[in-house]
Amino acid sequence: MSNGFFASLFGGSAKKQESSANIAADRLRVIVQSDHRLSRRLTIENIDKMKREILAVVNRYVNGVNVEDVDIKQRSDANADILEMNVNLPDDHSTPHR
Amino acid sequence: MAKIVVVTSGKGGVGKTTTSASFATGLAKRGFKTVVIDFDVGLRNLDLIMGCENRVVYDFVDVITGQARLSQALIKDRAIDNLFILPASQTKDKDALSDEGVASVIEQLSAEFDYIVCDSPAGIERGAIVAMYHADEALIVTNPEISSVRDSDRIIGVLQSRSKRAENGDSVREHLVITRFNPQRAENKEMLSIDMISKDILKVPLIGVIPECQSVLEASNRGIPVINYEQSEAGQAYDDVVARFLNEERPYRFIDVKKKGWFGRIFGDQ
Repeated sequence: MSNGFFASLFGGSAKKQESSANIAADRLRVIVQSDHRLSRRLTIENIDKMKREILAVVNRYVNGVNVEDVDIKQRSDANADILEMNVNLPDDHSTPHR
Repeated sequence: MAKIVVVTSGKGGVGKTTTSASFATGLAKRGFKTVVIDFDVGLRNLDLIMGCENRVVYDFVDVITGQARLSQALIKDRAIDNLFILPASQTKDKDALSDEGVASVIEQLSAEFDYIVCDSPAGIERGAIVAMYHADEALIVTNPEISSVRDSDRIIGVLQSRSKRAENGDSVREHLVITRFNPQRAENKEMLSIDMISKDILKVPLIGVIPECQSVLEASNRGIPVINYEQSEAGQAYDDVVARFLNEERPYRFIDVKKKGWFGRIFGDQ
């Protein structure tokens, strides 16, 4: 079985490049679920508010984190609601103790 | 001072956001500092087409209401330097875009960017008028389909009466982008021809014809502007739009029925 260039580079032997329809479905699931109410716990307004508060807290302890370094998703698995947050910290130029 | 370009159509679903995303990306790829603004408050989608939906924290309305600084709401494109997205709010409604608020954001952006691309919502109501108000130039997006052409005619009328330039006795320079064009069906007379739409009915100079192309869906699935699909017909056609907008001569491609070989496809001319 021959695999594509991508697969040979990143995916090892068995993995095929994901179809764009699957990518779209995954992206939509994430966005639609966050647009809906996440199992009645969080309204979309509250999700927005929470994102901002989280960012404000991060910025209180780490300098120079930009909004664009933040990636926040809400999604649900079969038996769990998940709030997922990735924050890329900026390059550290000025840490006093290291 | 930035040049402000509105992407508008009247009718929904004809490719405004696809066009905005690719047009802005194309300008940025050529080195112009470009921001693309989603004016569709309540129904934002530009973030999805640009693939930055997970990075939206603050939005256009937050800037207007003073809850965020402009620099906090601007999202930098991952792939292309010089390209920024200002997302719409998903929770507010279009009344949140106050005239003064929008004017102030445009003014701030204008000082910093070369181009401001305004992705208009469908319709001819407030949202669309706010989006077009500051425009210097307009891309009118139309499908070769009667309802779309009629709606474009409406929006052109609005553009030339309700925009700031119109109010000052000036006019907004218009360019026509025909999307989802199918040369075979046009040749079979099943579809309005390019000249019919551009010259006979709308009387707006043509700047590009985007053929019906599978890559458009593929690109939106992945959240990548289709202009980055450099091998695709739609991607190349959008690159032509950007080139012509910048006064480069580009022959029209993908508007004639494909010849047998690839030669005719590449050099198909008007």
